[in-house]
Amino acid sequence: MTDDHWKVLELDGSTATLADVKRSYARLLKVTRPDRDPEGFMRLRSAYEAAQAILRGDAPASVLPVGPAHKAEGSQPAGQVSSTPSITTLVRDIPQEVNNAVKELRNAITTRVRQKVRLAWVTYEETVEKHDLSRDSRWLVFMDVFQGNAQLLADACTDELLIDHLKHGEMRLLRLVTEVWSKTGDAKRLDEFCVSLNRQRELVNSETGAMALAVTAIALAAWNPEQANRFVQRAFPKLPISQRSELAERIDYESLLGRLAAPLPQPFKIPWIEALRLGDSERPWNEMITRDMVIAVLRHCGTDWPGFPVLHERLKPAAWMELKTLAESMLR
Amino acid sequence: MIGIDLGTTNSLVSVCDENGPRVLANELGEDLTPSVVAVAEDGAVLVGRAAKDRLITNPEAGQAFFKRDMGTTTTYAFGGRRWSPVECSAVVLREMKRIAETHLGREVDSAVITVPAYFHDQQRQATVNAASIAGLRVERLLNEPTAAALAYEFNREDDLNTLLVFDLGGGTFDVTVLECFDGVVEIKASSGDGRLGGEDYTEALIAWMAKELGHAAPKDQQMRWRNVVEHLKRRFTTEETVEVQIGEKKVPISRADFIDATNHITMRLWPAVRRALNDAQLTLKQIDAVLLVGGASRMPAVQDMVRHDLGTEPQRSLDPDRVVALGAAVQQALCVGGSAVRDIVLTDVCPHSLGVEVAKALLPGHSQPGYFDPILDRNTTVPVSRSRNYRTLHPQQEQVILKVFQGESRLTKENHLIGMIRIDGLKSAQDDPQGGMFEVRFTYDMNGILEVEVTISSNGKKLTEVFEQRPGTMTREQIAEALKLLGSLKQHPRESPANRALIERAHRLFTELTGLLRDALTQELDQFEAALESQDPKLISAASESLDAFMKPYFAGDD
Ligand SMILES: Nc1ncnc2c1ncn2[C@@H]1O[C@H](COP(=O)(O)OP(=O)(O)OP(=O)(O)O)[C@@H](O)[C@H]1O
Ligand SMILES: [Mg+2]
Repeated sequence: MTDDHWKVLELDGSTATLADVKRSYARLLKVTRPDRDPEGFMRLRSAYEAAQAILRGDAPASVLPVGPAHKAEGSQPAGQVSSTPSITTLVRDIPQEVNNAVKELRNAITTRVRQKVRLAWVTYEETVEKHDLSRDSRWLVFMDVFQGNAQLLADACTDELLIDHLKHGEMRLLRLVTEVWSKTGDAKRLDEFCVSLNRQRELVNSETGAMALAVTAIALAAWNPEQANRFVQRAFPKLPISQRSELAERIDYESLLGRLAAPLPQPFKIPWIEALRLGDSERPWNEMITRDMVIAVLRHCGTDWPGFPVLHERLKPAAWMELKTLAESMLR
Repeated sequence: MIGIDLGTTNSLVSVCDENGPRVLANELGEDLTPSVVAVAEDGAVLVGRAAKDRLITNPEAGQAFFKRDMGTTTTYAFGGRRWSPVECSAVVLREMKRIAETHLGREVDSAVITVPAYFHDQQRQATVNAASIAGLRVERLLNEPTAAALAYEFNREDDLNTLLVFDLGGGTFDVTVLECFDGVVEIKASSGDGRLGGEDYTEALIAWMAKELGHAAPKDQQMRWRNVVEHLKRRFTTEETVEVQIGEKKVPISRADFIDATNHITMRLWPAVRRALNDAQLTLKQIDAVLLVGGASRMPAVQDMVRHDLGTEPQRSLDPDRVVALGAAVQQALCVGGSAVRDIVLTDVCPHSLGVEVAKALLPGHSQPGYFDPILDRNTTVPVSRSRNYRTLHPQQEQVILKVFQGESRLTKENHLIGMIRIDGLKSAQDDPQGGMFEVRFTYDMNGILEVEVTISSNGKKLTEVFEQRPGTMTREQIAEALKLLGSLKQHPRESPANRALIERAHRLFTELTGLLRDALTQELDQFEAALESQDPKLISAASESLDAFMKPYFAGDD
């Protein structure tokens, strides 16, 4: 904010309080009425908004975090509890019954039987609910229990569990699970969950619900762009203004990747989407798998595959040359 | 200048002088005029209660609830011609103007008219058109919940600062969050549902009765039946159980039944509240008071929802039917700089986002048209001016059709198109690999009128467009045409509106009575018509009093 804003408000920026700003604004407004002097009003208004933002400690952090589905874990905005916590102190203070439930859940995880994990998980949820454990503590304990078992967690997770979390305004489980589903290309599960969520009319009309639907649909977009777009469409009007353009861009981006990879057989979709998304990863273009990937593209999409110009743009020149040589050698 | 609340079910007219705002009543002593238009047997245009009564006996002779169709191309056929919702509204506005002129004893040519906050551009424009057909210049279109807040501020006795106005009328639902401090009424956010109101509750009750009690009215009885159900609905507001006559039987219905039958409508209220709070960046705890506005907010289910979900006892110090009209009068005083309101300043927001259509080129070689790119986000304080830069898709591209939309969907096809501008001369310089750049500036004023200014970056050329003429609204010629048509449909000179209303009411009662009572009514009516024929004021007033006295008992409790 420049000094101009304080000048407009006729205040000293180093000493003014929120109450001063309001009082000053109200006083000046009487002589700068929006209908009589629109220009003057706009100047006064932007000074007022800027001053308030400063005194409140800048724009308030948004209520809901958006970690892009393809970004690394733990990249949540400030104000959110990190998902790599130091557990010990917390676990020590929790009730015995909860500790028992946690133990059961750990045991179930070691068996790696999905059904067992599911049952123990439900018991755990009921117990923490009963003891009214804070949302953050629950999450910390939970993350500790499932450490390194994200896939099992995603497999055992049910729609009810996810929806229950969302109803409490809790998005973290959803983010984690959809990320796993998206990475493994589990379009069926993502789609199923979108459908279930969409049936929860009240929830989807809430901001958390709309965010959840959008996040899941974005994870789905690379695998089933049409369906994903329909769901995002549904969620869009209810999304917080501050985040909707970013979400919109991500869905467009993911859908585009999906369309590029659409003609490919399922096993090749995953690495190709990854390659298109990340551009210049460390992928050496002469490995066996890469050879198969290129063959698949040439066979299913042909030489004028629209993904090539994208790669051309995204890859380092050396990597692009390698890919090009590989493709040309195979065509010969 | 006057204030007008042009409602879905009822309209009101108001003025503000040194003593503050007040609502004006018509010759029948009623200040709520039903928003109904009809054509009488003899071709005269009826409005208000007379029209409403006529519809009961003759559902095809007129139209109610046309506010719900404002801004669309719907038309209605009655009285031997087609009517647009704009023309119907014009008839009601003309009546409001007439009532005000009778009171003030001088001509009135301008007004502040209230519209639902959630009305979009086309609906606002349609309202302005209706006013010009009625011979009124619109000084300001004021959002209904904002009007309620102004009336509240004017009468304020406490110092509750952060308010939520919950306005559930006949056809529209609006939520507005605002803050009052030092005479400033600052609207922070508005949201709502343009098609949700008391009438939906009536319709849901009709549907429930058809399903559960197997009773549906035959086509020619539908208006009458709707009227019966409407009264049942209102009785649930104060009574736990009401009895309804179906055929020979009396069937009891409980309030719980009613709440069940309409629960799916009540459920739609909450999301709008959430959205308004979110946009205002406030939590429920920060709301000091909830103002209930609109007739349908009297329903216990709605009040319970406010009590439960909002956690506050609703504030009802102002009459929910009249508070919007009173606020319109306060705004009217603000417009002319009236002494009663010198210390109040109002700032409002635009309830819908405004932006342009763009094609997205996310990856090289792929562009997808049809996306909405907001320039002004919803709930920005107005007047406001913001700009964004855009490029053409190709360096060789010469021309762009800039389409301006209003709405919240990310695809333009689901938003409202409010205008288009053609921009030429955008071709990039020879060595520039990127598309030509231009700046689009949106300036939005307090009446919701948008000005779009385009500046071409390469040569600084400017184009300015004020969207006054938009698709779905009327051209100047069409307004003139409508004016002529309505002008030719003059009221019968010897029949004042009050007498006209009495006759329509008698016709309605006639169809309900039998035997001797019907004969008695015929006699009264004949006498009254003879008196009218004589044009003797004394005779007329005596006959009308007698007829009125005869009919009164039958309409006790009828609005
Ligand atoms: N006592 C009551 N109980 C229940 N509903 C009522 C009661 N009184 C009025 N209503 C309902 O309120 C509605 C009319 O309210 P109001 O006059 O505020 O609407 P309006 O201003 O005409 O419409 P809008 O503001 O939506 O354009 C009608 O649907 C009517 O049935
Ligand atoms: Mg109203």
